[in-house]
Amino acid sequence: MNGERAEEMLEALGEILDSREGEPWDVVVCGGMALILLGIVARHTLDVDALGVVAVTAGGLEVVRPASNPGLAEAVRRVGGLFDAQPDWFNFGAANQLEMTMPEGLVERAVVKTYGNKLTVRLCSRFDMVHLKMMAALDRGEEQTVDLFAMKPTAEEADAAARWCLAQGCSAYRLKTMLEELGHEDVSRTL
Amino acid sequence: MKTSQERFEGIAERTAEVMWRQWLTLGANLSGTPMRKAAVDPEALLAATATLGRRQVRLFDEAVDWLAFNYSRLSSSRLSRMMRDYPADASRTLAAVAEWTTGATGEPVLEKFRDRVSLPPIDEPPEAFWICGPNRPAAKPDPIYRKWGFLRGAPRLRRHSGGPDLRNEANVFLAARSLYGKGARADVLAYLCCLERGEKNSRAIAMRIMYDQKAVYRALEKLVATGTVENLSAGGRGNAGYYRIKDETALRLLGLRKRPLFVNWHALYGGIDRTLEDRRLNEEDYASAVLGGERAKELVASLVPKIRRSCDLFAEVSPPELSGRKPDGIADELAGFLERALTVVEKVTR
Repeated sequence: MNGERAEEMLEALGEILDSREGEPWDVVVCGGMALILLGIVARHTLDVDALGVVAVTAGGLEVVRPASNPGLAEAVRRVGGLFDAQPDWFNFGAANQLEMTMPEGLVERAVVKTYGNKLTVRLCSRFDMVHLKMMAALDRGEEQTVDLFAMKPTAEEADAAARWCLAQGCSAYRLKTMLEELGHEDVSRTL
Repeated sequence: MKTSQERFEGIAERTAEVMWRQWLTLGANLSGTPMRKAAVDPEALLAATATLGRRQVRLFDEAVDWLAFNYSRLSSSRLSRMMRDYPADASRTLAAVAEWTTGATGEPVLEKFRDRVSLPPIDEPPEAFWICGPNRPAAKPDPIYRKWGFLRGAPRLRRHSGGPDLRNEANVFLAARSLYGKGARADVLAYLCCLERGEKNSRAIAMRIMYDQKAVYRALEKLVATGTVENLSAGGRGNAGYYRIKDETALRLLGLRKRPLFVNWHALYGGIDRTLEDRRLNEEDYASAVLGGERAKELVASLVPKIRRSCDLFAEVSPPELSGRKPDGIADELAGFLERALTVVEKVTR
């Protein structure tokens, strides 16, 4: 799935959600597809990774795990069938990252796209994607590192992301190594 | 470039033309040249007229006129079997036709078929009968059609229809029935007369000509016993056997100078009807590229393999190409397939 295809499928998803009863969906998307739709990288990915849904709390807008979502799942399955894609081409597999504390202001910084009246998709901003990709690269290795390097994070982005990763309990040693590989030895020295 | 809607309207018109020619071939009072190259399936044609014919006022009423005087040539049980593939209102249409024609002629037209059809639910409002043109409500709805759930004015029996020319190869099914009586034996023989190289097993034959497999097997046994048909691969029931006409004697017996082509009209007409009805009953969905694409994709999945497997002629029609297709292109791919299938049958019905 490339960006163009993903847009078509999200439009279709919005249309199907509009055609049926049910609440609107306001979802935060991260992962490779966020980078693709933001134009940061140009590649294909298998699916659209949703981090969670937006909730209004006392602290403002937060991203939280969605409640059971058979209506959305059914709509996603229908779009998958229409485009010959896998039935879970849009999924909340990335929601396990919500076990960590998300970067503050993630929702506010997200790029908002609407598809019809019932689907809002917030693409994690570049700034937040550097955070999430750095964590993923440290956690899951090579595949995520490719995206992080392709993003060419600035010193400010790398610094903020590294401090956030440290706060989540990442190994300082591995972080320093990664920062040096990214060409940010200065940032590495300040950690 | 034609819109999807224009293409499907074109498909409906071309189908009607094919049906006109087939009714003419059977002896209905219509102008034109009868077809000769392909066999007419009278029950498939009547079944299709009960649905697609509701878009063609004259065609429908000429078909009813023909039925009034030729009903005894038709198999009620085979017709019932075919009507299972159509929605309930199609059977009710034929039941209305049968009851009205019985009343008009005093003849028991398709009685056994009518006895098996249920009346519409009492609380269901009647629907306009004609699916075409400005549907003005009938000033005086015919009571028999009304009973079966439809509003139309009283039909008129012109009594212009004749019978089929049984020397025309296209009427091979009716020719065989005139010799052997209605039933599996006549229709199996007619079917095999269409196939130069024969057909494998009773199950395949039963599926193609819409009969119960046991009845086909028994018919084949009798035809083999009389030397009319040979079994090139004997070995018992079910999937064994390869049957063909033994020699040209059977063709001469039926008065055929050459073999007509077998076309599975039921599969084609049924597929076209289902497509057109789906578009008619779900106009709102088809106005959306996504929802209409979804519906079209389901139709492609269910109808196209069925049509392509139904006879050798349709096996050669290239299927819709959906790979990488956007939703708004799927209906066009389906239209393209049906147009190609119609082109193929138009060549054999000229």
